[in-house]
Amino acid sequence: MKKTLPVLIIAVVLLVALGGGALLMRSPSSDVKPAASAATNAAPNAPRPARAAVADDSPPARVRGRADAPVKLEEFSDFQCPTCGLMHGVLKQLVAKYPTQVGVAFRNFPLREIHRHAAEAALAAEAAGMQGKFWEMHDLIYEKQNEWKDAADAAGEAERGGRERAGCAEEVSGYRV
Amino acid sequence: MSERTEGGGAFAGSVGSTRAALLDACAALLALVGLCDAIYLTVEHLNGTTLQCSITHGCAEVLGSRYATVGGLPLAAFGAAAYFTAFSLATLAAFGYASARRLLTVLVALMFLFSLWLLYLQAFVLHAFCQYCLLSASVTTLLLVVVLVQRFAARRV
Repeated sequence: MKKTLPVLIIAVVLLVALGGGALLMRSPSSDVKPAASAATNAAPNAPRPARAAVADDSPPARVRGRADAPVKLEEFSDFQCPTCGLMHGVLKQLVAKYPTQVGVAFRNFPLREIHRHAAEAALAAEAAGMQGKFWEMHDLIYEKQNEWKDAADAAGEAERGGRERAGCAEEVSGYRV
Repeated sequence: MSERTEGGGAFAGSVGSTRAALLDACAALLALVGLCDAIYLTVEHLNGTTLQCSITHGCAEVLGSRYATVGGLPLAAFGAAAYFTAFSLATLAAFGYASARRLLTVLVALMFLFSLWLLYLQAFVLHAFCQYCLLSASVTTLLLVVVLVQRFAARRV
């Protein structure tokens, strides 16, 4: 018994650890507040109008792919959010693979309280958008997220990078956006 | 791992060995806390969710950074494996396996050094702290304290 007891304890802990992990995998965490669900799922059981999360006077969303695609995703995203950065690659591939079937509508949702450059990045993307280069800037900002997120002058870097990539001749004036 | 301490271990009955077994039990309990933390982080990573910190501000930055994944696997999974190994060794040590105690000391020292590296990354590279990672670092530090106390106590006995 003395020899088997420690092995038994270890085996029980292993089983509980694996079982507990498997149970957690199945149940959605209550701790999770992704940007999109925080914005749209305020009242999950209430009947929602088609565009409940967006105020009537809000500007139209930027759409990648066909705006009238049968499958339309609306994304509320933060340029400094690492998970949004991961999602960016997936959504881009999705639209590239199903260009006629999927459309992704992008809306800025900068979490200013936890991401100090999120709002600047959103302004830079919209400023590029005013010059017809929104998606170029959008992709660049996400691709270079690790480089600018800790920068002292993130907006300046994003703008410089954006001009090079998107070929914008003019200075981007983020404050007009 | 098959050898058991002569006159040592939980069943030898001496005051020194009882204290050693209690410290081993403490180490096992600490390893269990670390194991729960690491399993939680692993599962949330695999679920693809963004954890929000309630105490610190930086869970998304830390857990979504490139350092949070090694070879496609969440770093927390390696942490869970390390904590489970530490728990197993501490349990075996509590039952008098001296070689397990030696291995536990080496493992905990390595875990502590790795925790220091992760703390450095949070403080100076990511500039963000994740409370679950800080809990893990605290547990590893306490584990180190326990195994060191045990080693010094064993020398004195």
